[in-house]
Amino acid sequence: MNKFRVFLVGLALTFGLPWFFLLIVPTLQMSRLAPLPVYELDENGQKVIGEDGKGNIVSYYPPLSSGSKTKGEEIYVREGCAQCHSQLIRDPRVAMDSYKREWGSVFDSMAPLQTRPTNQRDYLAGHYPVLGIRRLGGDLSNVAYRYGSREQMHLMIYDSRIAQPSSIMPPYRFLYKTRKIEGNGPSVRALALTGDLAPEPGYEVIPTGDAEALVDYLMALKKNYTDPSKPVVADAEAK
Amino acid sequence: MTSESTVVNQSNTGTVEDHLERAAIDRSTRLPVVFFLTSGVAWLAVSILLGVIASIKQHSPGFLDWDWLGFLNFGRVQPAFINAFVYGWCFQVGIAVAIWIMARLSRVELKNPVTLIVAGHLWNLGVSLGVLGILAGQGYSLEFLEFPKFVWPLLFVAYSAISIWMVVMFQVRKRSDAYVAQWYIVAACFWFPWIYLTANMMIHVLPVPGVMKSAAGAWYKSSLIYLFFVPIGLASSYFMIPKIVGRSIYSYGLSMVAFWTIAGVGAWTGLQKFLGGPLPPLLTAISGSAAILMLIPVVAIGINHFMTVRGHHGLIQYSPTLRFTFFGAIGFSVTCLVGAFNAIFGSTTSFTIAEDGFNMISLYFFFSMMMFGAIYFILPRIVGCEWLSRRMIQLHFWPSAYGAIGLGLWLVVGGIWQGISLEAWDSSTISAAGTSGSFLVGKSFIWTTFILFSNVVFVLHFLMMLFRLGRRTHEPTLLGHPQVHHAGQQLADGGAGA
Ligand code: HEC
Repeated sequence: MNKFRVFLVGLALTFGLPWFFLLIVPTLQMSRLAPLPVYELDENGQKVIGEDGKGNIVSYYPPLSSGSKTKGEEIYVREGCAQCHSQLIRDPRVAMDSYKREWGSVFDSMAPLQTRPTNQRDYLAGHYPVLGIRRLGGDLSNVAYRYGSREQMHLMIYDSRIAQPSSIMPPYRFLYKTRKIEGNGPSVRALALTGDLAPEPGYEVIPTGDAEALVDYLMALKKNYTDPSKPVVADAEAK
Repeated sequence: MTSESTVVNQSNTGTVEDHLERAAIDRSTRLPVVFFLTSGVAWLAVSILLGVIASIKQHSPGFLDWDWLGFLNFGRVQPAFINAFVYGWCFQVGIAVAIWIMARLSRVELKNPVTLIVAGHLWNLGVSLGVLGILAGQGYSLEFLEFPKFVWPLLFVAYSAISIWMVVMFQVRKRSDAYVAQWYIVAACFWFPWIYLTANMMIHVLPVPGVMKSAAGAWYKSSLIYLFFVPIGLASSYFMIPKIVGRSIYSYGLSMVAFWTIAGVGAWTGLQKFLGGPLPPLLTAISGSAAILMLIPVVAIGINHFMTVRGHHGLIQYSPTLRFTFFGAIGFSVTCLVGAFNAIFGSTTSFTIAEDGFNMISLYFFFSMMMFGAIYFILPRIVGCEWLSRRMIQLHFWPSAYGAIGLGLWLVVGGIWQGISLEAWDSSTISAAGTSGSFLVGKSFIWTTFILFSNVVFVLHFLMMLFRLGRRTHEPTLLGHPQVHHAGQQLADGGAGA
């Protein structure tokens, strides 16, 4: 009996130690992190917290997610997008993530050479663990910079083979519905589908609420905003 | 726990009373063990099918892509598959084998199977709801934790009941010393509820920042493998190998070393997945080193197993149990080696299919193979007839073995390639996906030929045993006719009385 108790204490200690140091301590540390208000420059060039006149802070770093963006994040999680997509840019000393042209802010020759690695505060924006499981698809931390319009994003989700025929991303047609065109012509939200994918004449494909929320969420994924916890000089450079 | 504790009772040389006692214990465990084995095997069948679909979908999303089958997309089938495999098959077969070994080694008859059966039903309910929930689009974004939010309390309660039962069984054991296999089972019973509760509290209940939720998920997966599947798998090998070879474990000291390093190191692993990410760098570094330290138990256990079987390696040819168990023991070494490899080259292999390779090596190459071995030993004793066909056992073993090696190594190599092409800053994501694509096609090939085929054979064979279509004899089903017994060794493998 006594030996058994010693054995159990041994099991508890060997397990409890890493449990405490790997999970509990960092959780407690990180729960002290809070979003920071974003400063604006007033007419004298002084930094002030941006307010809307009624005392409410206008914008936070990171921009907090709410409403349909949160709904979209939930759909992102439930649909298993994280099975193929990550949302973290690792430190350039470890991995090349931040030099990947396709994962950075803008995909053109004027784009900054290096994307900022994501930090703990960035993830305060959402409510779910979105760091990701695999990278079969690309990193989505900054995906919004790469899409000019919601329409384009919708087409990507409806069937990624429209943009890239060899894509292995699954089509999410079930997030869209086909309906009869009514009254005064097709809806503005209807997808511009051509070829095989085009609906029968007289019909149109429009996003459901879920698809709209998902796109709201994705179109808000931009991580190159300035970080108010850093010195102002660095801000100017990052611009 | 003194050094005699490693002396496993020599089943084949026991007295008549010993035989009767063992038969009585086996009878008493029949109901729960058959229940967990049968539901485990049913989930094995389901998950292998889901696995085939997931595997093909991963490189050809157009496969089975009708509008009404939209829910079968990779983002849902993959988690449905892996969770059905882990919680449906691996867990239940592990529990069945643990119950049986615990009763045997404690030498007590199981008095009241009701707790176990109720817990088993609850567990199956949880897994079914979870898998259906994922397919219905209610999944979650952490590996092995994709079940919808409402499932975890069910699984937690069910598992805790089983744990308590296991510890009670251990406490009422007849000998005051404990066997190595029992340490591992008690440890797994003690750790898993803690691991599971922590992960789910952090993810679903407490207001923890998103980064720490991801960290908890990675830690959970790693701890589940190193502190649940590894102990249960090793419990089986520590029981089966001495039993069949008919000698005690080679070294008590080495068993101690292996056990306490696994205990001390296992829970430190996991966070290396986010090397260079937003977690404190120190933690990811510690986790990576811990994964490398898992090579210590590999050496200790390797020597111990090898020396125990030494001189009797010929038995591997004849005894199905020993063959599967020995192969599983190799799988344990490969698991830890690949774990260490992925930790060392983490910046390349994280987030690639090399991690799937690690999952399949630990869950199939190591754990499932160990469990198949145990089932070939246990089931005849429980249902009272012998396995019908040697050919079927062979048809299960070889494709499984080739499939396990092929799948694991193929994915790891593919993961390295994928990682390298993801690292190339000027190449596009789609080209990296294309690089891994060719490996994914190979993976589908292995799934649909080797793994699917061998498990169809196994499931059929298992069903025949359940319906008592086995051979009614006291001669065990061996994989050959041992002409010359090694050193006059009687094969302990089989014979419903042994
Ligand atoms: C089978 C894995 C897989 C799943 C699941 C998946 N994707 Fe993708 N995704 C990819 C691949 C591969 C690419 C890149 C190739 C391409 O352009 O088609 C991609 C590209 C994208 C892009 C464009 C990225 C860019 O950099 O331009 C977006 C946006 C996207 N996916 C969103 C989603 C969303 C939202 C979900 C969940 C509803 C999802 N993906 C699920 C594989 C996947």
